[in-house]
Amino acid sequence: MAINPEEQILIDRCKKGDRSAFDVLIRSYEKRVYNLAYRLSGSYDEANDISIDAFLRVFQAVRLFRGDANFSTWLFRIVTNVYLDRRKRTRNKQHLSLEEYIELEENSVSRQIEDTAPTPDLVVEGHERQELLQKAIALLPDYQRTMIVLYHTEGLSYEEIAEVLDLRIGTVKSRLNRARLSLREKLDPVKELFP
Amino acid sequence: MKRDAAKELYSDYLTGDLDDALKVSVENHLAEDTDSRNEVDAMRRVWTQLDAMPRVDTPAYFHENIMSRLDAELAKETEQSAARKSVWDWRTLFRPRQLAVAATLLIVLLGGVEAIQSQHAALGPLGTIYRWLRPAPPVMPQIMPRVEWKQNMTTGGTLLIGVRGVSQTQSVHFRVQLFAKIKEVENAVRVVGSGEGTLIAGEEGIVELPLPDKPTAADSTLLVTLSSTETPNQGSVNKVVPVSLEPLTTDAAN
Repeated sequence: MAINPEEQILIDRCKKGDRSAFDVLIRSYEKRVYNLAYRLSGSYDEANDISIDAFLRVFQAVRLFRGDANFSTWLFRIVTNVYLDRRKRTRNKQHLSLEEYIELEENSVSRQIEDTAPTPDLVVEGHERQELLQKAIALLPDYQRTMIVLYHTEGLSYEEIAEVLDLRIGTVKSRLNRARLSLREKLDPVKELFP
Repeated sequence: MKRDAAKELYSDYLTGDLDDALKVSVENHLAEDTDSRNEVDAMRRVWTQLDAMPRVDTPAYFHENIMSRLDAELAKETEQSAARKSVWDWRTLFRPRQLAVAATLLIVLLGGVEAIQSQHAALGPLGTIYRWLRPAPPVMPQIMPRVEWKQNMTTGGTLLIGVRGVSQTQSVHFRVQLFAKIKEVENAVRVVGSGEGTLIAGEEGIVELPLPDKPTAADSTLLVTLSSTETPNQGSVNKVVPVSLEPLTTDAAN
């Protein structure tokens, strides 16, 4: 693991409370952080809040960053923790949506609600497919969703995911496999859209 | 290979991470099981879509919002820090470290003052605290009772006991008791007369006991008990002073 020397200088300055260094440091990560937060939460507004909270937490905790991992890995761990903390707080306030599933650990049972959405053949491919995919991701349990997002949309390796989530690589691999299978099951009703 | 076992390997199969033996096993299974083959194909398609998910743009003024929130937090911290310095917070006394320091100081204080207990009056406010926490045993005044016998004209008389002496630290009461020895029983006595008074500065407290006969040291015992109940945390403190009945001066007859 090697940290970019320029980034290391910025991190060192941030550790001393240098606001301007933090200003520069986070610019290169803002979009990735926002995307991670969006893919995890499925909401632009929530992604905004998660990102800001995460960056504030980074500034407060940067002096604890030892450099054992990549800064990005450490940053993603904070974003993930902020997201999971918020989920814990809001879990009791959640309302059921038409597409909601009752999560039963690894399995899920879909609610039997009439689908009034446009039939697949009427759905325009492209961003609609991406929307469906995002919604299916949102139906995954938190730990599966986090795996999927970190690997597929953020492009983290198994090793990096293991660091972010503090898991063994074998656990990451098996959970990621189950998450993919679960996601495929959720998309089964609209599989025609995924040729 | 069973379907469930094969399922566990799908991801590694798609990424090409299986060794040759397992790869052949999975492929054999997929060749035999149409549902599994369809599942792997669907998984591959979803995988492709996942990898192709587009990046979303950050909202307008995203960076500025982060920095302004940071500035607000820093300002709040500065303000709180200043407030902590300017306003003494009594709650800080109850933090573990402060309590430990306070306990240590108290132990040192009590231990040190114990060594100079007799001088604690000179410690000022600390001495007051010490006296409250560890009151010194009251020092009872030294008394030399005066005893007289006043013979009546007919029979009997009055035993007069005068007590003088004042405590500097507390109010002291005294009680006079005259015991007659019971001849038949060894060390047994009975009270034949008693009276009480208070020691007052400059005055002699006098108790008179009317008796049928003049007591003697051979057949009676006279005790004066000094008591104080006003010393904090100490309870009642008594001092018993035996008074000699010999020689007992006799006043002029009434």
